[in-house]
Amino acid sequence: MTAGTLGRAVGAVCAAGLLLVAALLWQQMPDKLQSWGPIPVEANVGERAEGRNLAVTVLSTGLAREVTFGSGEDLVVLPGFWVVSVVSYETLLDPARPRFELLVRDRTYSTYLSGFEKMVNTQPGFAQRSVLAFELTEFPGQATLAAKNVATDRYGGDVDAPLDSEIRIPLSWSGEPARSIDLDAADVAGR
Amino acid sequence: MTDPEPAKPSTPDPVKPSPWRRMPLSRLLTVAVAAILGVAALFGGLREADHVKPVAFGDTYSDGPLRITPKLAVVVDELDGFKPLSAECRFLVVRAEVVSVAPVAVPIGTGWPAESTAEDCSDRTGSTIVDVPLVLRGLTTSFAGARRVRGSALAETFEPGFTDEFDLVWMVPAAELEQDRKIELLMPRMEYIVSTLQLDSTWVADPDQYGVLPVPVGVPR
Repeated sequence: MTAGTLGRAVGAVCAAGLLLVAALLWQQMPDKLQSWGPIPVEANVGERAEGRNLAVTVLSTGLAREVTFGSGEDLVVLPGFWVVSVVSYETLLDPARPRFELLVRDRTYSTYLSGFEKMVNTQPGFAQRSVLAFELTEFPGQATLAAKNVATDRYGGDVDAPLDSEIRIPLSWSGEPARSIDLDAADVAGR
Repeated sequence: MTDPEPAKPSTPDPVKPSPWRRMPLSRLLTVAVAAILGVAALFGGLREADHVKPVAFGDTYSDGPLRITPKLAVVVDELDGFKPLSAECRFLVVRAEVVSVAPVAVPIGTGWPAESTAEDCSDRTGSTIVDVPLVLRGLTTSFAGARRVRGSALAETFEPGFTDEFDLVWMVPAAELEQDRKIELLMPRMEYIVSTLQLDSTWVADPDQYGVLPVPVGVPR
């Protein structure tokens, strides 16, 4: 092999190697959400979990075959597979409002029964307690409650507050699910 | 002196075969395809066409995260859970079974509250495909919301793993229902992507791929 041929071969190998390294690095690069999204903070039920601008405590949690709210003629009864939690939420630095999700295996559930839904931005230092009820397709053995702050972007849409924290609290239960949970009573009990 | 050599008879120049005859078959086919495409493009035949799938009541259409089976459509003057409408407006309700196979919630769309005025059935929702799974086309609409038949609760999302019947409610002008209009329910293909505008993942609808359900003009009252 002549020197010229050897040189070209080395050049080709180096070029191929650089391309391979570049491809591997590209696959490892974080996407936009990973760079700017909230950073997980783990805690347990009963513990106060503090993130950058939020603190969350799961005061109690339970399973129920039915949830109710309202009273008299306005009593609403919703049968199903329910995960009910009484939660305390507080901002630490700036006013914000929360978003809660329930992670069960590979699914992420949102809730339309949240005592925090009608809250305007919570001022720092003022803890709010309310009840969350998630309806699932079946009772889970365990789940993770995820809480994060919601921000409003320039287009008026709700997005996860960038560079904030996401509180993750594992939930588990023992015993039989309750026959019924009154969400109004649970909310009052949490206060 | 020797006799000169006899003149050799001249041979005619060989006729060169046509270039087309000399061309290999594979190249001929390539040229033919290119010519056909070129002519098609010249006449606008390569414009992207909508991929539309006709759907009938009782058929199941898959838009990606959801399996939607429209069951029926009715027009009513009043509806439980919704404020009464003014005389100019009616509720157009499409009942559908929805199976969610997505791992996250799919938003249904923001409903306009009824205010008992003529504004209720103004064109607030529009008929272009936006990032929601169901769009009504063919008349002026305001989407009022979706109600899950089981439990009669208003729903804002299709939650993962659930199979339920929903009443999808639009507020429409009564006068337009009397006209001979082609009313259709569009169900666009949905995809979950990292939004380019927002710091979030979101569902987006493909405006070129959708199922179409004709909603009869003379809907039963």
